[in-house]
Amino acid sequence: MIEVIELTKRYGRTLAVDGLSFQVKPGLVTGFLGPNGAGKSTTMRAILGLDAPDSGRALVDGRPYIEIRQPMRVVGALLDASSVHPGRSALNHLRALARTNRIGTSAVVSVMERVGLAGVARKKVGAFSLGMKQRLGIAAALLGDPAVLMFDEPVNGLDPEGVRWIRELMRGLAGDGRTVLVSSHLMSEMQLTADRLVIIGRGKLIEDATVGELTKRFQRGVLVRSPRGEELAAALSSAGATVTPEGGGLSVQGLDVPSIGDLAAAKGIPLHEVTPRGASLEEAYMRLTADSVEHKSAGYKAVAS
Amino acid sequence: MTGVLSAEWLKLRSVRSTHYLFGVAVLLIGGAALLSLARVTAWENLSAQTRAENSGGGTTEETILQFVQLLGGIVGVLTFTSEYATGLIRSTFAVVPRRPIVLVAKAAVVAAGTAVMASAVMFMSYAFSEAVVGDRMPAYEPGFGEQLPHLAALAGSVVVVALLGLGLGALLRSATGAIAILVVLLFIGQMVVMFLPEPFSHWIYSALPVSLPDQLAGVPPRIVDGPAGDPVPHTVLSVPGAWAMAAGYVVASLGAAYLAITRRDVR
Repeated sequence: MIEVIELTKRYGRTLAVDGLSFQVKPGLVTGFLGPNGAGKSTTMRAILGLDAPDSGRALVDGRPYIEIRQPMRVVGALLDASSVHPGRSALNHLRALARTNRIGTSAVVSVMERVGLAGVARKKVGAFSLGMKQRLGIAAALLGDPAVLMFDEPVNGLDPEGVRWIRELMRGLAGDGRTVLVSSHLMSEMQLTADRLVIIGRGKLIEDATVGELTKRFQRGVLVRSPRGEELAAALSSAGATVTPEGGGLSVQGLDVPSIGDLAAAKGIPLHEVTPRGASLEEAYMRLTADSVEHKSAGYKAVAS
Repeated sequence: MTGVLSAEWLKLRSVRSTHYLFGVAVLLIGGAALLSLARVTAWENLSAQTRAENSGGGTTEETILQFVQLLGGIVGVLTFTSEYATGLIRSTFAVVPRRPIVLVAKAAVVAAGTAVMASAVMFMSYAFSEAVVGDRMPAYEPGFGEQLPHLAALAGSVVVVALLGLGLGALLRSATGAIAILVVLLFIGQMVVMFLPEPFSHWIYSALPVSLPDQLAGVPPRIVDGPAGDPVPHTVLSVPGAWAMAAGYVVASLGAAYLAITRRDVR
């Protein structure tokens, strides 16, 4: 369980995180989404005690991270896979981390096998591909067998096979009842991995909901076509729906498909098309974060004029 | 604490830069032996009168002191800067959130590692030089027993510089800047004091790391007057004063490192 409470972090004049509050619950993969520069990494660093917040706090299992004596056994984190000394072997890198929390070499060896790095344990990390470094970072996070895991953009730079591996790993960790927070700037990725989404923009919470709730919220009504459109529109309106004509059909808000069908049948009005229209989560995400994107690309019109 | 210590020890010995630095230290031992050979040859070619009027300079270990100090200092610098440069420092402080423990562990392994390195260089350089020179030069006339405190002080001064490097590394987070400061302190400082007025020249000269071993071991100032009889900067600290100076370096350096790592965010 991770709790972020009214967290605010400023860098000079930039407000990186602005009164942010959310919770990350065990047994679920929680996607931490936001455009680049939204404050995701800052929030994660604050949770790990690396950045001191200006106000507010972050708790892991009810206590500040910096009070945990052997934190690797409680929280595993992957912040930046490239943050390794290139001249050190993968094995020595992990052994050094493990020793600080009194984790034995046997755990290091088994974690290396689990992430598929056993064959390159004695190779220098500098020779690793980004994908192998991501696996090394994940190995470091798993060393202490922690119940809480945080991954900052773990799929960046991975090939499709690596992406699928990480996705399944995170699902598996959540399936064990662990708390999993994973950040990304891509909704398409989170849609496949996360159960819950915490969406932030410009350091502020925009949305905290399950994937299902969000999908439902962004439904854009039902498109209905009928040869007796005007009659149907009147009937739907009197049943409480908002009806707007749209390209020869009707866009209906406020009534679901069965209700529209039942109503039409009761009135004897034939229906030629009934299509529920949901926005893709990707579109929903774009709309939610539209105001908080740091560098908006200029629209085509703006360029032309 | 022991876990963090053994982790830092593993980190120090598992990177190539440490191997190179210690390798150069080993080369310096051979260099010292060769230098002694050259010196004693040159000395014996001087006329008897010139030899009677001059001392022939100090021991060869003293002449390589600054280089050994620089090696130790770089070991100290890299201990922090390599982690800042690669970003590894984030993992280091994430797995040990009580950051002063990391500082203490790093200081301990740097002190231990450079103490072994510097002692090996100083004692072996002495042994080889003594074998080459024998009693042919005044500097090597005293026996090992008399030289021991001075040799230990030479090695100790390397540890002081190594811890100074560690502090500079933590403070500046940049190897280039920290090593530049070390070079100024170890090599350029001596030249600059020549141009300072008395008595500041003596004070600053005495505070330089290169002047510490003599003062720690209680060796009196070697040269007080220059060739023209004008005073040159020389050591003025008592033995306790020198110990206080050495301790001051360590305390100031580690104190600055403590403030730097505990007050700053790790980005």
